[in-house]
Amino acid sequence: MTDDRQVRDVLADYVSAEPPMTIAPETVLRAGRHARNRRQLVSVAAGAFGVCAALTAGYALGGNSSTPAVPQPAAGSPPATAHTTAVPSYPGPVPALIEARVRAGLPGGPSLVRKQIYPSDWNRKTPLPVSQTANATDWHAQFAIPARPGNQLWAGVFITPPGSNPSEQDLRRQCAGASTDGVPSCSYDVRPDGSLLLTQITRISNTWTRTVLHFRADDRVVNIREKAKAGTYQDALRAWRYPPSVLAQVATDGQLVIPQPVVQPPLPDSGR
Amino acid sequence: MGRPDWEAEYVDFFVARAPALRRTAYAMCGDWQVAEDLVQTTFVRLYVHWSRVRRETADAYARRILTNLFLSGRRARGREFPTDLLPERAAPSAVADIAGGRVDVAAALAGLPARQRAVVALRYVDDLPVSQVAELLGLAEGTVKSHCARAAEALRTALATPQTMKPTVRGGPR
Repeated sequence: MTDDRQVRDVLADYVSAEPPMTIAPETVLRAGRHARNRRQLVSVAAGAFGVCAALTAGYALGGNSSTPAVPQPAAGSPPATAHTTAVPSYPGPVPALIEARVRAGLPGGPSLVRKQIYPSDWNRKTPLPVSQTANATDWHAQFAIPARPGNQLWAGVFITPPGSNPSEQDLRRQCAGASTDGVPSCSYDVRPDGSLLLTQITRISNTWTRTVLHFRADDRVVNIREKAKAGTYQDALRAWRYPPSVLAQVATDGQLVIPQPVVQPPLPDSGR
Repeated sequence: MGRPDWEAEYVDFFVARAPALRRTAYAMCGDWQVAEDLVQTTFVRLYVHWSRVRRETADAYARRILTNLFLSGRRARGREFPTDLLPERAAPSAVADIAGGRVDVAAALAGLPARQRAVVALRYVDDLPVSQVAELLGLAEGTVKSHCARAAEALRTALATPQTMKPTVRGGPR
């Protein structure tokens, strides 16, 4: 609307005279580490108190001291590392569907080696218990690529919190000037159906990841990424097995859809 | 003790998103220094939870933290009264700001209730759709729309520049 456009213009001008940013990444990292350590200390102390209290209560109630109840981890506090747990096999048609679509969409798909496929939800990066499979908002699949033994292929099929998929403006801003080691690292396309396809390159240490994300209608996302070890971007180009156009075939596969969760998990909180 | 291996990804996110979040925060609070404090606190909280925040939702997550910080800060400080000139770090373009009407905009925004300012910042500075603003603030979409309309009216009045902020006229004689 014209009125909206005018307000937007006025406010864009209002915020445009920004002074230089004085927060350095190191400052935030340092403060973040302190906050995290404090939080961990508090939770360890609370956990120790809880175990003591549970054992004390058990004895007080005349419980069998040889079989004390094992304290369960609190819901919503998954372990810090995501991929150390052995993943069980999950019921239902989704694991087979994901595996089949990934294999069908990629050259050499039949030779991919399935490592794990598990459900999760938008509040965690860790697998859900088998009993919670029907409440998944995410499914993650990991494959090894025999032709590139050091590489990993990850596919993710997500239902995101309502309204959290980015708009085209978000992607435009995100990609503006984005680069990794001097290489443009972000681009997007608006597809004929109005959905958005984002391609990204990220580097963490010597792991280079090429990611294609398809943001679909109804808060759906499919994400496929290939990780390779490489020293430079040129090395990474040689190390990756699949170009973005091929990954995009899987990301945009219309059959790659997961069911709505039977019970929707709580929306991600603000971290307070 | 080693650093978590996701720190590089977190730093990339900070570098990419902190400036935009600071602009959003500034539109909410009207003070660059306070805006930076809000952004810094936002990123500290984000760090604590980063290992379980997915990249696809990190933006929404950060915005939610920022908005809650702004609104809870307002509640803690109690009722604020608008002033003509907001405290702001001196900038070389201060004179140009006044001439260009930025101070009027600041005063108009300062006159809005905090929640309305948050709506304006998210809707017009962040360009979020009404549905997303509503979800983020826990408001009905109609409430967001009426906040936007009131804010536009306040800006229009403050600037008193009918040429640039003329209300949209619907219908009328043909």
